Amino acid sequence: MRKGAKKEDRRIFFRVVSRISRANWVLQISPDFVRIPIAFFAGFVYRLGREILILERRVRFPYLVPKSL
Amino acid sequence: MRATLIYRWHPRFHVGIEYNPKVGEVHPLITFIAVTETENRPAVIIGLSSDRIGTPEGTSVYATVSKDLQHWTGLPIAPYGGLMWGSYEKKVRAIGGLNIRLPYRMTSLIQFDGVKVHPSLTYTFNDTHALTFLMIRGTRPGVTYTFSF
Repeated sequence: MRKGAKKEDRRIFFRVVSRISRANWVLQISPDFVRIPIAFFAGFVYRLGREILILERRVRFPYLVPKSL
Repeated sequence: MRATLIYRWHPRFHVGIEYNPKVGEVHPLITFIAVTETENRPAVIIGLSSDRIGTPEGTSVYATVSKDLQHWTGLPIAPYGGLMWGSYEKKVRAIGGLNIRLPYRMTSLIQFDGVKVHPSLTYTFNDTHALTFLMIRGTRPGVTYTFSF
C-alpha cells in the first residue's frame, strides 16, 4: 500500500461467497497489489496464456497436439 | 492486505472471520442461504460482512436475490440484487451485480455496493486454487488469491 493511502482505501472484500469448489474451507488473501511478487503474477499470466494457446490448437489442429498436453 | 477464512458448516450456512492486519480489525462473516436456487426460483441469501469498500470501519447486513439466467436467456449470466445496511453510515443502500461465466475457466463479477462499481475477473486453476484480478471502484487494481480445502 502506498504511503498516504487513506485507511478506507485499504479494504477489499467480497460479499458473494466463492462458488469455485465444494470444499468446506475457503481462505481468501488480498495482498496489496504493488507488493505482489512479479514472478508470481508473471507465472499466472504465462499459465493462462499457455492454456489458451493449447485450447486454440486443440480446436484448430486437434491431430497435431499430443494428448499429454 | 486482507484475509478471510470461511467454513461451510452447512451447505446453506457459512461462518468465517475476516482479518485486516493493517488496521488491526477482526470481523465475523456469516452467510445464510435462506432459499436455495432452482431452475425456476432465485436464491435468497442473508449475511453479515464488513461494511462496504470505502468505509473505515463497520458492519453490514445484507439480503440478496440471485438467479442464474442461462436456462431462460441462453446467456451465461447470473445477476443479483438486494439491500444492504451499513453500520458506519447507518444507511440502507440498494446493491447488485452480475456474474458472467467466461471461457477458459474464467468468470467475471461486477459488483455495485450501493455507491461504486467494482469489476473483477477470476481465473480458476482447479478446485483448490483461484486468482482474482479486480478494479476497486473501477480505478484501483487489486488481486485476491483463493485457496479451498
